[in-house]
Amino acid sequence: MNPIPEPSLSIATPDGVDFRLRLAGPLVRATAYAIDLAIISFLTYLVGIFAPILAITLGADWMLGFTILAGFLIQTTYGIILEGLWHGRTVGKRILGLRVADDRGLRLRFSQVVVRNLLRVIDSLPAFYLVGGTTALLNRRAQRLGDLAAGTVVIRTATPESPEPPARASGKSRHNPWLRRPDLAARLRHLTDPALTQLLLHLLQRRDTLNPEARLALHREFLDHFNSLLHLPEDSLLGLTDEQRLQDIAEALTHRPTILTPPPIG
Amino acid sequence: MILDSERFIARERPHWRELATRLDALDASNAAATTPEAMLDLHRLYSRAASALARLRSAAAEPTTIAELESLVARAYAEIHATRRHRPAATAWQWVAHGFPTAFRRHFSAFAAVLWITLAGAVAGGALIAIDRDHRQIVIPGLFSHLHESPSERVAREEARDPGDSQAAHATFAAELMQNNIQVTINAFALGIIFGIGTALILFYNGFILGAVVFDYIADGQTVFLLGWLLPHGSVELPAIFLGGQAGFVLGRAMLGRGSRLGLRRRLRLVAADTATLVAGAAILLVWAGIIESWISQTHEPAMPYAVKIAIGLVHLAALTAWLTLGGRKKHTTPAPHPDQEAAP
Repeated sequence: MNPIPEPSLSIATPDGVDFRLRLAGPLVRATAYAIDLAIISFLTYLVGIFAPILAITLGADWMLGFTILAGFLIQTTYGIILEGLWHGRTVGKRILGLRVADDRGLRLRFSQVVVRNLLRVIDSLPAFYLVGGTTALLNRRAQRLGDLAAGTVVIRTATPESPEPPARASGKSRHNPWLRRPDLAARLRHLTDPALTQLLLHLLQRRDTLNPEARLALHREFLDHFNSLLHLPEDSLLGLTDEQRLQDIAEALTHRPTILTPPPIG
Repeated sequence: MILDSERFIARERPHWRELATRLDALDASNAAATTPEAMLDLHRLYSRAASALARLRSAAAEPTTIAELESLVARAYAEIHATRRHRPAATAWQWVAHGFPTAFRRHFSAFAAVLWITLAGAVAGGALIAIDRDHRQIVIPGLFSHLHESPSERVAREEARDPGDSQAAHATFAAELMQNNIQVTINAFALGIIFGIGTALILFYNGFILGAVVFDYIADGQTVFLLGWLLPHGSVELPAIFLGGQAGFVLGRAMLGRGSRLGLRRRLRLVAADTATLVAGAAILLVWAGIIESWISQTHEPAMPYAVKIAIGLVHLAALTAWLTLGGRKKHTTPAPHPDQEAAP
């Protein structure tokens, strides 16, 4: 049940502040790049669609020249322009909550963006980013050659925030027993990995998309895990379903009150 | 000290939200924190968040909140220690007038190495053609198949061409030239990561082809045609590719690190800005070279006198030399930093 610990890069600043950048792994980076590649292909396709308009106004020569140059520019500058304008993010990286960052925690410079993107030529060799992928796997900071040369890392920006607080299955307001025992709630937060909190919130949030058997099995599995960490005296939990217990745990973990909504029909 | 983390977080969270809001606003506007007061406020909020992070860590509790706070502190640290941002127009002018030429001069030894390797390739290419002129069929790649015929035949054909025909397909040809040359320049730079070896191979090969063609035309008595054909665009195109090679060698030298006490990451960081500047400058020059090659270089006598074409090439060469050797000298008289000196963040 414990998620695999994320690799991170520790930054110790000159003014005595320490923080960690959570590094993105090769798989999520490859997925982000696949999204970007799809967008590049789509933009190139659009150029092909609209280029004939140029043929009407300026002639076939200009149309062909425009198509060649625009396709090349889209492929070469897509990453440079977007990462430069959006603080290290392309569309793919935005969707997956990733960002290019300076490996000393400083502001990303445009020259770094240029270097890491130009070196894709080498990272993509001989095919499917074999050179870049291998380098990233062998590197503690998951840097491909372009990142190494530019002094950049790709990090996860998705803060361990935020799925909406889970809705209670019961419409009635009731007390959360964890909140009557702040000492135990604090201990639970200490023992629980942030990624697991996220998983729990997603599970509760997506209750209506799961079939009932799978949902009940998952609830039981989560609850067994939390019980293995710590549990409240049974008498304070009497009459509560597994889902309600998990909702209480989620509230204790996130410090957020749950929204009281009517139970879903069916 | 025992920390009541729950109460502490509840008390501090509004300040973290304010910090996040200010950082979001800075990101969105892409401008520096406007006033000294705003900057002071940002620093105060950052210090408070950093202090809260340290306290929560020492309590060994609240991993979710710690992760959230770390992300916030990291953003604020980057923002506060960012170098001053300029107006885009001022930055562009600064880059043209100072950044690009000084980056070129700072790494002139790498440019000299580019020239020597290209020259070595050119001598080898010329020597191969000197042995047997028919080697041109083997040496010159299919991409330049129009160079497979003898120079005299080509000159006769070009000069007999109806000037009206030469208007055809200029834009397409220019786009192909830009694409090909910029890609070669990017490759020459990027291959520098393998300790400069890849860059050296590309430059030697380019020099080899160039030497073969030049020797072939001179040996055939077509020197004037050759100059009129190559100089207008070559005076920009070749230096641009050399600049890409220069950036590649700078990168390769940082990889090797010979004679430097710095670690690999530090060496690479120090040259990143200059290599990006050199490649970007080369790409811009190649756009101009593509236009000139398509519209001027491929137009021959009688449509355009060779003297005019040669003069265009010489003017290009003189202007580029002046830009790269004199640009940025007057205002910035401080000596360039030694490569081993770390730049302040």
